[in-house]
Amino acid sequence: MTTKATTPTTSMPVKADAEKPRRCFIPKTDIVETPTEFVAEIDLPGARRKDTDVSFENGALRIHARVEIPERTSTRSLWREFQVGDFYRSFEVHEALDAERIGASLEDGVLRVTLPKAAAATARKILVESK
Amino acid sequence: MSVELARNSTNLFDQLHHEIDRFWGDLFDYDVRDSSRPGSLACNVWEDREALYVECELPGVSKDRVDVNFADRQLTIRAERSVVRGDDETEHRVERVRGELQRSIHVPVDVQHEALDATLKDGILTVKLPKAESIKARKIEVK
Repeated sequence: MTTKATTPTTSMPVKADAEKPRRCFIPKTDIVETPTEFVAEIDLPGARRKDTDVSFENGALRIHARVEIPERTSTRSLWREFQVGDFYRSFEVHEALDAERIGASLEDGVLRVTLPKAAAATARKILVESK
Repeated sequence: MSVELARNSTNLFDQLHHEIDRFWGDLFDYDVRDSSRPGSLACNVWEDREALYVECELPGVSKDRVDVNFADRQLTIRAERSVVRGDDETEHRVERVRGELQRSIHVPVDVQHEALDATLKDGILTVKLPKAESIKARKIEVK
């Protein structure tokens, strides 16, 4: 597994028609490796499937989720310990992946991204044939 | 020692200056805590005319692992997030909090006990505590 330094890539796409800046957080992520794939589990509390974008391009896995702050009219906040906002995070992946088969699912506020290893990367026993 | 559950807050434009995370981060990126005691849960509390609301983030926690209790003006929320890894799984980055979480909040007003409500959706738990009629604000007509 390589850990060479990478130059920072550009940030998430910004819409041309200037939107009011939205609060954005870096979601906590667990990354696990199995013999056939990598799995990233990302906490995105409050995110919905339709507002969550996952993309993989040039070796970079990008996650962006828009979380709508609920409209609460005639309410009064009494105590605030956490803020609600969008999520954005990107990961540089130096491993060989089968990009076509990258999958993602969102359940109970957790995004699970599965990144299958490229066939060449999974160890294979090569049968030595006798002639 | 309580668990730091707050996320890093980053202005959208600061992202331009942040280096992309390496996929393989430092193995343990979160505050190491004493796992013999439950971690703390961050909560938001607000009210409207009808009720008091308590909200907390519980991503990846299923309904059967959440316990909401109200007794003696004390609202107690308990949750457990267990993460099970197989023998053939290697962890490369661990940031998400796991284990037991708990929070007790003192509710200083009278509530309708039988109408307490708790919903868990998209990883957010919202507890609604309807105010007792006697404490609701009301207009008094001057005759």
